[in-house]
Amino acid sequence: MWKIRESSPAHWLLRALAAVAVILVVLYIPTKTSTSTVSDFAYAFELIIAAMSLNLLFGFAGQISLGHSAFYGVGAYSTAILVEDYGWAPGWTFYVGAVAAFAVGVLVSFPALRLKGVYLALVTLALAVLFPLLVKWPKLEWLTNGPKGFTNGGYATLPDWPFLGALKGRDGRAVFGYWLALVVLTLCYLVCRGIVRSRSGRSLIAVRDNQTAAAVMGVNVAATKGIVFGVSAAMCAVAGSLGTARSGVVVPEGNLTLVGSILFVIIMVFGGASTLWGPIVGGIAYVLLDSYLRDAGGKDDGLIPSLFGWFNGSPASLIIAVLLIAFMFVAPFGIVGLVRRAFARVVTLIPRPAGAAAAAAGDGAGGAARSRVPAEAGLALAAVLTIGMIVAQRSQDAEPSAAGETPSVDSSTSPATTLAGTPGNTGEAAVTTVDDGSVSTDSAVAPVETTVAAPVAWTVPTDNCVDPEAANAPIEGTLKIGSVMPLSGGAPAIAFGPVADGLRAYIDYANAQGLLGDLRLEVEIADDQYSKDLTPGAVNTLLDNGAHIMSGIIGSPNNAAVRTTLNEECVPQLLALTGAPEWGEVAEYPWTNGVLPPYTIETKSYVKTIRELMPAGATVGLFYVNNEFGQVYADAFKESATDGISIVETQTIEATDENPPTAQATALAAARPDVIMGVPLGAGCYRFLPEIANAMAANPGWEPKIFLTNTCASALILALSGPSGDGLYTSANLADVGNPALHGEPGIKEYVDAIAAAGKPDIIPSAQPGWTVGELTVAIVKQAMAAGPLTRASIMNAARQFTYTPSLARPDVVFKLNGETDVYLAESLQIVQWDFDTQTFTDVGSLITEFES
Amino acid sequence: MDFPSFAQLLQYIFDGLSVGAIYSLLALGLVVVYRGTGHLNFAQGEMATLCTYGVWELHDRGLPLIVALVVGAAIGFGLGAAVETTLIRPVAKKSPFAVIIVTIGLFLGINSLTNGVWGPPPEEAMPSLFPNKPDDFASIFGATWRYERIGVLLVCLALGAGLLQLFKRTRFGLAMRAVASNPESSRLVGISTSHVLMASWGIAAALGAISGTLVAGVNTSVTPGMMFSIFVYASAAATLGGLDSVGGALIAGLSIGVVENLAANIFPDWIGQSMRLAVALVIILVVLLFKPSGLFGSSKVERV
Repeated sequence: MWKIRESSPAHWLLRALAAVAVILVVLYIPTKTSTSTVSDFAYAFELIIAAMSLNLLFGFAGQISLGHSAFYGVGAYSTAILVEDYGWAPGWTFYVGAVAAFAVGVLVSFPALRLKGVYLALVTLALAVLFPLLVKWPKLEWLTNGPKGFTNGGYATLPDWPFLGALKGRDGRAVFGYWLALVVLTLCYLVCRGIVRSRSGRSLIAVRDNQTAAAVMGVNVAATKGIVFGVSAAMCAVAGSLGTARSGVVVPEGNLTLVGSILFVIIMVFGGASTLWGPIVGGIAYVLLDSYLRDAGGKDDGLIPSLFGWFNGSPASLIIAVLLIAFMFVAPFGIVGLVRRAFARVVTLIPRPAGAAAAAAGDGAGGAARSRVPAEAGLALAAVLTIGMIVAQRSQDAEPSAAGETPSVDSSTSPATTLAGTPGNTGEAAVTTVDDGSVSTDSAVAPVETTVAAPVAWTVPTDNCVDPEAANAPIEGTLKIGSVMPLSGGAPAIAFGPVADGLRAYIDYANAQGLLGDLRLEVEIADDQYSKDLTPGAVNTLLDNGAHIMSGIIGSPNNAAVRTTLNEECVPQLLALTGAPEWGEVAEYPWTNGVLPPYTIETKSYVKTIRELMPAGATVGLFYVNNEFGQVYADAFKESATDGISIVETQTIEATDENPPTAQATALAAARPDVIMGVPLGAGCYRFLPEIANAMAANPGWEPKIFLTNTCASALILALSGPSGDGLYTSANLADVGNPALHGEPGIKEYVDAIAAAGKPDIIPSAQPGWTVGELTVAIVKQAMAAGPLTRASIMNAARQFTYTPSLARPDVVFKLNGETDVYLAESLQIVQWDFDTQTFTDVGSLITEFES
Repeated sequence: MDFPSFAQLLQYIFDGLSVGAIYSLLALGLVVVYRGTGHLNFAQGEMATLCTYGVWELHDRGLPLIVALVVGAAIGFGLGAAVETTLIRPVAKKSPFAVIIVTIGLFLGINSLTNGVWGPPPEEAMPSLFPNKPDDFASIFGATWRYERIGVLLVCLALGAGLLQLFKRTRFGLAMRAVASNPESSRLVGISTSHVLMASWGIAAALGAISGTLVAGVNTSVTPGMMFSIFVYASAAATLGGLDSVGGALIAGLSIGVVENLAANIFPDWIGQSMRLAVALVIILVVLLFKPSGLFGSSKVERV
């Protein structure tokens, strides 16, 4: 046992050592580690600030809050609204968000004056659930943009910071995000520390420990609570603003909902509630653990998958939940508490006799290393930041300069005219016209068909790339394809997990068949849990691991969150799995394209069919899920429904509400529309149909035609709705692979065999998009190779002058992209009708190709 | 805004009672736990889902649904009691916040577990305890009410009545009330506090199994997130009724169902379906701001 006296030279030495350690870590991360680590830390800092604000309220003032996600949301939205709609620079919006949240926080403190414990938890829970509803409220849409949110709320270009130099691309964004978040974090830390160590902090702790006693001692309880709620809310809003600034994307989901509140609680508990350093330690621990678990869960071997073979997807959230409970048992003061306990065995600090006791009460855990960091530490930290920026700038300078040079070779000047010209590749039956689907294949290889692409002048610009040389550097040996999909974390992972399996299966198949000759393909799929907050980190990890291109990233907000970075980096963002019409902006985002038929085309196809079925005009009842997907889709439908087709009733359901839409069906039935256009999601697909059937039974004579978004058009899903779904209309551009009668067809057979060989025959209907994304990616690469050296730029050029029929597509469906004239890959749709008895889809009319551009 | 006809109004009330019955059912579980232990179980909905998966598995293995439900409720009782003794009681001694955090952990963990084990959609639909073909409904003055929904409401009322009897008329109920009002004195007069606490959680979880099975029947399948929005409504109902009042939770759940449905339908532009939940949340906020003990709850007098 080593005893030291407070403020003795030994104590100072200890402090200096700790400070040096922190400084080294802070400098080490942005200069020496990978971009994904830097961006993980930037995200961690953001969560730490939120957890710190919660800790101020909960840990020090004893006021529980499950509503911090709402404060976070106030900041996130303030930044997005002011940047995107009013053209502010992101930095200034932080203050607005903080002030707005301060006001909300003070309001929330009024009930907190009377309530405690469970009741306060309930009030704040209500706040957390209320916030996203308010944001989506149609009456506020002018301000908040409804469920669609914002996609350009961040830094379009990074500001020039002294010491950091010109920042660009993902490295620049990660480094900038890191320093920005660290500066804000440092300020927030100093604020917390200032409050806790001051007289007002002692008031807080007195209120926490015994409110009545505190009041008797002269603490103004109302003012204390009001201010601490306000400060805590403001601080949390700053974290939200940072989140928006980082990716630019805000939707009323993820950390803006109760999920965020729970996340902040987890971080606070991991690190240690009631300790100043707790949230910092907890945030870093959480982000590293979560990133490790998501990473490990997505792999086929290793400890986690071998322990959790019985588990669908990654067990990340289960393990974190178990840890959360375990911490309450073994380490109620978190990691910091554990460390302190360990320290206490080695070192005892003898406090200064006078005045120290009261101040020290701020640290709940007690113990030896109860160091009161002197005020100079703040200055020291500021100095550190300065040094850090200098070092960061040095490391930037060391890298090849991004500006200026035009690449000498523009490989894309000779665009591909045909794919078919490479002899020796078996199975390449050079089919130039696609007819009735009787595809000519006499080999085992899936039919790779190509039509001649017209020579077009469109080439992807590489001058403004962060590294133009890399964009034009030949790729040899192995092509690494990255993708980001939800592999864990609930319903989206269940729905889309098979897509990942399908993609992997096709890449394995392509390698086994040698479809690209000597070029080997590798695919790595990172897990973002369908949260756009995690997508940038996931993409950074993939790029750090050497991915050349991205393909098949799932989700609109998710793709939007990485679109700017990938376009700055000039990394092809191919085949985004989203049907929002915004994926055709070639001029702004030349490196990005989508693969699903845009909703505008899907809805136009339905309207055309409705018109054919009811030439005299029709009334429509629109039902949609109240999130970004549903809103974009509904807007597309409203735009398409013209000339005699009128929407007479609109009903919505929340995406988190898994209960049947009884009241909605009643309301739709009351309007007695000729057609129901249903846009539910997931389990909502099969819950919606029986409700409509019930409403029809209760309203004799009302027999609407039902149209259902093709997001629901899976035999697996529709089977669960029983006979009520029989006869509904939907659409498809891919073959109905759920129908066993088709399993012998060429192309489909290879798919079915490959999925069955992977041991997952039950995902045959749901893995289809993944397989198709894989096939399209390979076809694009093949075309790029035929045109010249394979580079990121040549891949993008091939992708933009591309004509292809995937083997799982319906007959006559052709996927086409052509420079700026045809920006959507898939624009042909077949209207189909669901037949409950045979569990298959039957075609209605012929393929609708009139919306091809 | 057109004012609804009588038949429409009646229809809104029936639909509201139908959903309200489900809120009440889960709220009863919250109340039982709160009465017994003074805690709010944030995992009440997820525990109900877990038990419902148990019922589903038993039914899938050939047990008739009603038998599966009885067995499932018994398992639920055991699960609830086990959770109380192993996870809640040890931390409850430390601080009430620790209990909140543990139940949040349970909420997350069970949700992740059910997703991991039963995530993909099942191959067949969950049967209902009541007739639920499209034409199984009663017509009352031009409005319709489905037999299944009437059945859920009746079960809810029966369970509420049963609980009231349990609390009021039995020795066990007396013991529960005694423990809730003063654990130390109860122990001194010979009441086994630990049994009472265990039983409260057990009863709540068994109630959860019943409510979950009814919800799954109405939903036609069990899904991992099916109780989440119901939990929010149920906590609103429990708050409005007064967290410790069985009758209050019952009446409050039904009223919230009716009020939110009327509000959504009569003011489709201002409230509509998308702001239904907001109605319930505003009820929580207003009640807690002005009458924290709810409409029927007993207000606690605290000695300083």
